[in-house]
Amino acid sequence: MSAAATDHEHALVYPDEPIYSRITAGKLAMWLFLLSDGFSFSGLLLSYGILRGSSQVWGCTTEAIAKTFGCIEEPALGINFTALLTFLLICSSVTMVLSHASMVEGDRKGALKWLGLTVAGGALFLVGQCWEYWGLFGLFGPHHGLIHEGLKFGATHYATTFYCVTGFHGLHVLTGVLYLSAVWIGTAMGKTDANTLEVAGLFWHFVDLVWILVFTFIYLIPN
Amino acid sequence: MSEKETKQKEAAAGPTAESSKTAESSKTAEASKVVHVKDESTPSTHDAHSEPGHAAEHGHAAKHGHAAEHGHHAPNRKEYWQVFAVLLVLTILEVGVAYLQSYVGKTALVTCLVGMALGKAAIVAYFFMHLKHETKEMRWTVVIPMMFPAIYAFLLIAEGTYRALWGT
Repeated sequence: MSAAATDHEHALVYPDEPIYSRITAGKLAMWLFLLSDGFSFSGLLLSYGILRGSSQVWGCTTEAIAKTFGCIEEPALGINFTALLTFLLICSSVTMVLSHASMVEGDRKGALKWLGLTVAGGALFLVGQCWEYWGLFGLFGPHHGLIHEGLKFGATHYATTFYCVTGFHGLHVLTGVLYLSAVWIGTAMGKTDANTLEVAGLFWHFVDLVWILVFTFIYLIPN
Repeated sequence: MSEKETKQKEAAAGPTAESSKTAESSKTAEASKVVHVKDESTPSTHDAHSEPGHAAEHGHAAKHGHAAEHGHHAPNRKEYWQVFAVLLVLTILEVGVAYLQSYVGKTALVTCLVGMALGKAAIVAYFFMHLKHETKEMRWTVVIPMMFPAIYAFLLIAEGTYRALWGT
């Protein structure tokens, strides 16, 4: 095949499919993956809801509860700090969508800047989550982490579901940070286009979307 | 590959092969335009299709414009910032509502919190994940499957409420 023909194939317009329009194969594949991932999170959140709904006490978080039900006291989950993490993820979603916007407008430098901020936001979220779990060995204040304070995986449904749901989400954030870092490098090298960023952005927005639900169900809904 | 074999393959492949054939026949005329595709400083596919001649051949650009041709609608930065502001306000409201547990009934509180969370999730999907710009069919492809876990959750909550109220 001649070089011209190869180039032409590289530039083919995605077919104007009558139902899904010009959605690219990569974008459709990402959507299907996100649906399957959405079912995974749904399973985790549903089991969380079933366990929580059927338990006598959810979280032995005060001395009074511990005395009444004869359970070992566990730490309560902090809302304020997690609200900050939520804010961070929302900010990173905005920077992601602005990165894609810059790429559509042909501003590769702008795309790199916003994408870099998105990666930084994701990395900060991970640091925050580590701080919440382990307290980062006392590096950032007196907080020693939920594990140190007695929220032990396997001890109660309250603790186990907390670590399963937030841990699974944290793995997604880690994956997103690595994925977006790779896209950043590809963009810096001129090997990506707006579609690459849009597909990567879909994953990142999904991570944000799931966190919005996790934040509400795990942290905000009171006992 | 012989000409006969090529024709047989094209017949078997149907419209896709036909499109390739058309592309092949026009490749000579397009060669000079397509060279731009390899320009590494800007997105490759966009460059190729920003050529008026090329766009006209595909018959899309005149109707939908350059960005729409590739499924990329012209970005609306103002809208993105507005969505950010709405998400921020809803998050602050959520946290505020969570602190009202001593003053508000649990059912009202949970309904309010879940409603706001679902609203925020829908906003992210619609604006940031660009469902707004997808076809109706694509939107339903995403929404319908995700309704099943929600329906299951609703049934479980309804059953739990029924048992709690009537103790059966």
